[in-house]
Amino acid sequence: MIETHQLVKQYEDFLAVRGISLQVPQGELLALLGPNGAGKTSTIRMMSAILQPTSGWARINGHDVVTEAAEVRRNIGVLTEQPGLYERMSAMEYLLFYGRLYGLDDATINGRARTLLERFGMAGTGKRRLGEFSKGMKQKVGLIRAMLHDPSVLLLDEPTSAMDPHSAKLVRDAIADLRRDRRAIILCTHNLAEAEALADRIAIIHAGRIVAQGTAASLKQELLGEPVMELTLDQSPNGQVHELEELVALESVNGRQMRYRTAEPALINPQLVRRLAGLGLGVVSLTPITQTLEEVYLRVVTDQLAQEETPRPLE
Amino acid sequence: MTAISAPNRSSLRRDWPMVWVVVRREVRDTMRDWRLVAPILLLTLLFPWLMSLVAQWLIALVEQYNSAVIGERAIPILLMVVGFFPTSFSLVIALEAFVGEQERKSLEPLLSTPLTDRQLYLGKMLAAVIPPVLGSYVGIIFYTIGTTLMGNRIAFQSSLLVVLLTTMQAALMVAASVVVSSQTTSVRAANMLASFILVPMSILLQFEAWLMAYERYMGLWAMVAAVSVTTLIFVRMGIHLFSRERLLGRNIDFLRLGWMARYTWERFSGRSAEGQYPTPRQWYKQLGPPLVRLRLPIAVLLVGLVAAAVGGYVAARQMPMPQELLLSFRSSEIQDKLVVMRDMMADLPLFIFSHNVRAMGLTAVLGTMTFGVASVFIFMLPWGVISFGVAQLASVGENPFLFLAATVLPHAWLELPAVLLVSAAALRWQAVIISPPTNRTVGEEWLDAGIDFMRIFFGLGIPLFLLAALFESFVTPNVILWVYGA
Repeated sequence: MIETHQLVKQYEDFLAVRGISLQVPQGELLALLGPNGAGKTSTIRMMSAILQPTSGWARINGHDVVTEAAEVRRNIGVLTEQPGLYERMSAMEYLLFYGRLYGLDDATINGRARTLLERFGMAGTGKRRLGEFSKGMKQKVGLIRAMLHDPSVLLLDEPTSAMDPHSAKLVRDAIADLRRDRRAIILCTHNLAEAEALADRIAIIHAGRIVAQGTAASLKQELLGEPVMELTLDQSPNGQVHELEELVALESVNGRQMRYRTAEPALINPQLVRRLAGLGLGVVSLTPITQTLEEVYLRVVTDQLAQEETPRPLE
Repeated sequence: MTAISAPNRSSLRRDWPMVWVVVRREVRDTMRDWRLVAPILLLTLLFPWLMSLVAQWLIALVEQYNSAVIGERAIPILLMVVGFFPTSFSLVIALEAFVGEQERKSLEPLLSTPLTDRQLYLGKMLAAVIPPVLGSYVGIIFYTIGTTLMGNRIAFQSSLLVVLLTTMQAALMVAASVVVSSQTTSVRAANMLASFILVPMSILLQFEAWLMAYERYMGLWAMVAAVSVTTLIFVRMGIHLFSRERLLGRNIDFLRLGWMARYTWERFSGRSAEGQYPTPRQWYKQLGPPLVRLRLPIAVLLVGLVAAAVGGYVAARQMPMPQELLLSFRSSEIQDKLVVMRDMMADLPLFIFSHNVRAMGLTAVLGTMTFGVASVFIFMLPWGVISFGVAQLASVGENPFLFLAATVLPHAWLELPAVLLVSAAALRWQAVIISPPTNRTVGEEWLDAGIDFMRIFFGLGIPLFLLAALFESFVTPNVILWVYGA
């Protein structure tokens, strides 16, 4: 369980995090999205008990990150944005080193390391020097390091960056499995499709604040409005449009094509099709327009930037 | 999935397994870098034999000119050189211990493990010490074998001293370098700061070579003790200063000279936030809190004063001065001599004043290089000398209290408080970086302690030294004449 309350981090004259409150229970994955410099890394570092909060608090499995820092570090697995490996070591030596730091015996480390290397498609690479690995392989070793001591909380910063599509899928599948194992996971990523596919909830962070939070669907609804449907008719509706507006809010009408919004497509769409048939209009196709998380993200960030640029009234 | 509990262990012995995990990794990493291993091997395996030949050549040369002793003395000095060269690599390894990892981005994963700060710090430190020191020992053994095979011998005490000095110097360089490495933001900055370690070390080595050349073994043992104490201070300081947060967050490479100058002036002058300067009376009232902060350094100096007095007494018992010299104090010519002294002293108030100010300046400068150790010794020195003199006179029946009352007290009632306060302020300034408060940076605390020193030096030290010099020039000689001249 990850909990933070009004977490603030100030570096001398720069306020990096301005009161972040989060809760991630076991078995949930929260994706933390935000532009570079938004405060994601500082937040993760505070949760990892590396940085101390200027104010507010954070707890991992009930352990305070300031007063029980060592306990917090035992309970988390951290994947940093850059894996930062010791390149003169072999993968197995590296994992043995980290396993020992978590108090694991060599037999356990060897067993887990082999299983994880195999799971990420790296069986047989244990004896190779890390300096010879590709970026994606290094990232996978970093992820194995984070998972080696079987932590109940995972803080993952860009886990699939620099990976080829196949490796990225292996890692995404592994993360999904970890969530199913009832771990609490925070995933920082710029890959919005990945966030949408993996996350139970999404928090968008901007200038040190959480500016939007919820499931992908609720964020879309909240920020992009009701789902949009695109309807193609066999002829132009012309003067009959007003008949349809009683049922749905029309977004646009362009020849034989029209777009409308509806909160309850399952209920409204059949009624609309019946109404069109009554008006002598045939339905060629009816498709929902996909609203992406990218649109949500861009909307939020653009709104925030616009707010920052708007001059404030004098107090 | 695992929820691991923390074992409730804190002692160094219990830290050891984790420290050793770090040491093994670091040493293995070092031993895989040919750029470090190759020169260490060369200095360990080849250089000692070469140095044995040099020693043999030197002995033959100086014997030719009937100066065999020079050659003999050169043997342990060359042993020191053989021992020191490999240890210099410890500096290279230690300087990049933290900052190098930070640059390679491998530090953050390490910081997010359950390793405690102390385990991490000690692990890094030992890893930097062990390979070069082992190399150094091998070099010393090879040199000793080579020298012995060539028919020369090295005294056991010299060998032991060289081994101890080499080990402690390596530990000192590493301890200081790890402090530097944990406080800088780039390897480049750490390397630039290395000169602050290399310069004092080279001076130390030259001094040790001089002691070795003259077979001043007591001095060399004292050096072993001094280097050990300084190393411990550095290790203590390093552990205290070590902060995961600062490793990732701070930037001390950037020196804000303008801000420092403004801040120093505002704190020194006592200017208020509204820009008002205090009256002299208000300024002196502001000295209260800085004086309260001097409680501990004053206590340390007073303990030093007592130790110096005891030391002076013990030295007087062991090295008694000739009785006739001491009794001349009561000779019939003493009055004439005291009159001459009184007239001479009357010309010296400015000299006495400037001497005291210089001594305090020396205390500040030397103390800065030794974290206050030199300040304590400089403070102790005159009291040791006074105690020595008084004990010598007491041994021939003179009243020591009368002597003190006549020769010291008339000006010491002003000089002792001045020396004590200024030395204590200097000591606090120099020692504060060993153990700064956790909520402040070393730089902030050091600057504040420096400003306190300046306020006490100029506000109390200078006026008291001036008055003391006047008393020492015009009052004390008359009191001495009055007591002993009759």
